[in-house]
Amino acid sequence: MNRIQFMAALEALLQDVPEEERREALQYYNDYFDEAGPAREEEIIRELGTPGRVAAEIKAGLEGRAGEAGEFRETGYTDARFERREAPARQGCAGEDGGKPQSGRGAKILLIVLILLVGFPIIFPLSLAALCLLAGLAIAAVGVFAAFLIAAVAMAVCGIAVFAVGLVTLVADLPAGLMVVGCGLLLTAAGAVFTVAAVRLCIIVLPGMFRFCVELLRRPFHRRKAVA
Amino acid sequence: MVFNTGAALLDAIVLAVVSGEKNGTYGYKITQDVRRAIEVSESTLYPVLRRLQKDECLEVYDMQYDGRNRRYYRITPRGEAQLNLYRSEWKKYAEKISALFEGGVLS
Repeated sequence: MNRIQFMAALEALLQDVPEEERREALQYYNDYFDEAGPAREEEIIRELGTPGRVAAEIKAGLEGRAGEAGEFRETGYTDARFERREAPARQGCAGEDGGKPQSGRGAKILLIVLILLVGFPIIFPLSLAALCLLAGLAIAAVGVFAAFLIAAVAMAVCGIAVFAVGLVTLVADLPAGLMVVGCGLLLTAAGAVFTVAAVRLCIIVLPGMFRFCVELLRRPFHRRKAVA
Repeated sequence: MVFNTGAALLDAIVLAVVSGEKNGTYGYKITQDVRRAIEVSESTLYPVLRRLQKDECLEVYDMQYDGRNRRYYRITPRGEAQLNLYRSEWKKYAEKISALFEGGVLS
């Protein structure tokens, strides 16, 4: 394919874009060939790939600007462009296999899909089980600490109740009443101390556990990224 | 290159290249200049240039050169403003990433 053929094919492929856009694009590539000179003509055509690819890129550019003004974020549009951008680079590297840039990528995607299909029935239940186990352990641990806390609070509450009973008893029987009031006060104090201790324990242990779980869950993803 | 160049970075690079030429520059030269920094194919920049032109970050004018017409791209005040935004954003981004790579701030 020479320059004339390339431009004719590109023009034919751009029939469905607005007249002005077509003229602009064609002028750009015409100029491009002019600037590069006849010596680079063949190289440029090879690197541009097919007229279809160039046309698709031009059209993607036209669609991509809908509603955006001066700000282009990482969107699907960007990804599509870079997939296309990478193709010619690979073609350049693997010149000897006739330059089929899409086949390597396609095979890789197929392989990944196959691995997922085969591995899914095994990996999914296993990972689900592991996740459930982890969740169960975490909930159990939280339960144990919650039990400590509740027991301590209950102790303090009982102490207050006993103290109240003691006050009532005081009227009927002074020594017995005093003893019950004393017991109530002791119980309340012990309950308060245990409550504080339990809260401290929770503050230290629970975030640590949480961090451990998150780290555990994150690790497989990180490793996968490193391999890729 | 290992790292992908996102749309915003590509815009920034193109704006920087064009802003370096006070009298404007043309498509082929822009592509060659951009290629000194990142790998782009010969067809990557047309949509970028066209979009920047529509967003009024770049303006075009035609001039005779060597007996034929040549289309020049020149940065507009709006393009300059956008480029300055990109510059400061890039500075922040690059500093953070470098600090992370060299110092290991997390952990």
